[in-house]
Amino acid sequence: MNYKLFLFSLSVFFLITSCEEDDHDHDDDCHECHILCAMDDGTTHEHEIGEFCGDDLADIEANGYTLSVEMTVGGVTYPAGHMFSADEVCCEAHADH
Amino acid sequence: MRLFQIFLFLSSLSVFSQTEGYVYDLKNKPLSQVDVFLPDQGLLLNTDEKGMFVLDEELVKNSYIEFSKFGYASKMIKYQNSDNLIVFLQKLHVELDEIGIQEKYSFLGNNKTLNIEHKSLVTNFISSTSLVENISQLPGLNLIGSGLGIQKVVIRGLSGLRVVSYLNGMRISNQEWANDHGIGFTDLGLGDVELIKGGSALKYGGDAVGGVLYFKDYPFVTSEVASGFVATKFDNSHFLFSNQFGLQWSRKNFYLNTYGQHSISSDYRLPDKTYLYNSRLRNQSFKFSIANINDKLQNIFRYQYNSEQLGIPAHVHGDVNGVTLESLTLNTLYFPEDFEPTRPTQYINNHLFTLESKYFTGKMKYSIFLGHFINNLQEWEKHTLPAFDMNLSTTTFRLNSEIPFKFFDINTGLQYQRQQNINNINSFLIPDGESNEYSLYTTVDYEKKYFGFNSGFRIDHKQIICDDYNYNQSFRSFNSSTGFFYKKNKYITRITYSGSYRVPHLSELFTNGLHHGTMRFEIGDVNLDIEKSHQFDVKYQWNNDHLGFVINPFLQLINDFISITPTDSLYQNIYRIFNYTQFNEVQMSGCEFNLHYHPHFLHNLHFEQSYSFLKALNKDDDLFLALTPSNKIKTRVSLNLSSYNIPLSLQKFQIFHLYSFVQENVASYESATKSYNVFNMEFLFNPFEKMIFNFTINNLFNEEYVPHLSRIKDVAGGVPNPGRSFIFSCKYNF
Repeated sequence: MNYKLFLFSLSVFFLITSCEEDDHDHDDDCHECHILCAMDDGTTHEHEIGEFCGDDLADIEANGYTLSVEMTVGGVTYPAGHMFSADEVCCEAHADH
Repeated sequence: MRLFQIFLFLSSLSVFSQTEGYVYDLKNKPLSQVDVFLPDQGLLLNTDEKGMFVLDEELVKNSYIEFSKFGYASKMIKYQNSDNLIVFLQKLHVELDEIGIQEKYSFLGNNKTLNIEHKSLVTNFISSTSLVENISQLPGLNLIGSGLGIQKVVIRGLSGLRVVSYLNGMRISNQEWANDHGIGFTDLGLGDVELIKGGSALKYGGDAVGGVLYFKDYPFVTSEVASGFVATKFDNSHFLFSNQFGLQWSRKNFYLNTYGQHSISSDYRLPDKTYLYNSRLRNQSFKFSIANINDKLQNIFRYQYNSEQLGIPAHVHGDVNGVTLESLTLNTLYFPEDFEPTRPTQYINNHLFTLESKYFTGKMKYSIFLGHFINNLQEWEKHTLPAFDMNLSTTTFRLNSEIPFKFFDINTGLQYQRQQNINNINSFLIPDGESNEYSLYTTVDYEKKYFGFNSGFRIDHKQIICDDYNYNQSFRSFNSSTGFFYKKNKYITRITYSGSYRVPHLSELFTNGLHHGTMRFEIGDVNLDIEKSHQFDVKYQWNNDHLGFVINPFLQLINDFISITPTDSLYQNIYRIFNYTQFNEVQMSGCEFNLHYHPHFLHNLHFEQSYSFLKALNKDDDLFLALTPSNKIKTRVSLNLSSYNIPLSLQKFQIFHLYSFVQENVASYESATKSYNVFNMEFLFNPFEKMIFNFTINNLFNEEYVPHLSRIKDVAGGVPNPGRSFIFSCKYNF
């Protein structure tokens, strides 16, 4: 019976110890962010706006991004102060290796 | 603890008595290791070398007993008394269908008068990659999904809210309206699944226009010394590591089953050796069931926890054809990172509580069922805040009574079900809302010699309330089903009609927002009305000792069919806007064929083939319906080698082949998909008495194919399914 208990304990141990909880808290992470620019041909261009971390990342993901300088993408000019909404900002990782 | 004390107290009330019987073959030879299943008690016994089984309880008259053993025709009886309880099982070569050949107890109803299919899930963990992939091997069934994490069952072209899943008597409501929301549980601790295609399951079938899947846990066993298993699995195309354990124990009238599972997988490998980014998953599950089983009263309490972290692969902003496959795939996996959840990801936590009490008298069976299911779904596209985070809780109370007579049974009951959808954050896709549903049902089953019929009705009254839309509306629906069978010599014919009605769901009425899981902006319609379905199903079967076939044509007419269709508009010039709408009439028609051949010269060889043909027309414009599965031929060749002395004790060798026809019957906005062939191979070894090894090769020839029901078939011209994969699994029973 001992070996049975051992086997059972072992499996429970592996089950519990391998359950790493992702608490969804990524405040300390830094991520490359993009703004989504709709092009005339119907495609969407992801324009890179740099790396954001901590509170800055939380702010841009919640409130969107405001251009500090004029920007031209695909023939469309966005003036300084143009606001990209939170739905137009994406900071998720992409397949890159 | 209090609950445990109550169980012990109830256990102490029992008086010692016993039920025993014998099982023989037709030559009066005792049959050992016959599964003796008592469905009313949820208890599994086995016969010994003398063919004898013993239960330390006197069974109540009219309790069902099911006898089954591989290679023999299963049999079901109604227990009358313990005197001379002797059952004879017939040696069987062809296991084509349950009706007439295999007698089985079905929770969904009488499986002679209704078209109920069964599939054992006992070996699912070691012999299948996933629960849904295993079930979808049945004729007429398909799966919709993307990778191992997100998968759901499609029955004759219908899925989502039209396919209702029950787990041990409780409806699993887990935001199943969207194609990116999976089934919500794994194969952990499951014994088998019953399936009805269409709305004939009146006891469980409100809303089930497409069908009902009824999953059952593995039964309790008598085992005063704890018994159980540990099992592990590795799949090299997903880098899937999965482990399960199970423990079963009993003492007197007290029974315990407990199980656990942990699975982790990285991104799956395509046939071109690249990896589909973010198709990874994690899963943790735990469940236990405790029961007190006495002769007349039994109580079963079950709890199940299932947690999943599912990556949503092939995520694209805007035009799905504006990206390349290279931009969605990795060339290599970097293990420290590529098992970790990234974005977008679904976080799912499900808790299921059920309590079922049954009371038997000699003439009546009463049952009270109380269930509570909590589904928390979070969809994270951003790193610091979810797109939505909502709790959907479902509470069910059901009272059922069964009155058995000599030739017919009456089953009647009532049910109350309450659902609440609550958002935990300000951002949401579906607003807070609730529904209250009251149901009443009655079915009558008649069976005498070669003829039988089933008839019944179900009345549902459902109230839906949503304060955000100032919506408070009630819906009434009347479901009915009638079927009969006639058996003569080797022919069996069964005809079934079912009329079912589905009330619009909160998501269809009130959705308004960007859904990153489906990459579209979805808008509901508060004016949607009840969806009505009429299905006609004919099943004709013939078999002899070595050959059998089934022909199963069907026709289903659905009025006011609720669908989500694309518009010409874009949200923020990026995301396509989809509206919920209703088609006046949709016609689903098709035929399923089954063939089972078993050559006389090689009894160990079984050849099974099924053909599924389906046509789904929107009669409003005579165009085809979107996401209609392609026609398919499924073939399985199985060679049982247990009687030969083969190295490593090779017990079984199987080849599975799937041929999917080209699907050009598509909606105006949908792309066609090509035909494809997929071969799988499986070897089962039993080198030690209590240990089983399984080696499977899926997609043997590394075929590059895109199923028509793939969630990501339109992304980058179609993201293929996994390439060749080697799966090793092992199970140790103790």
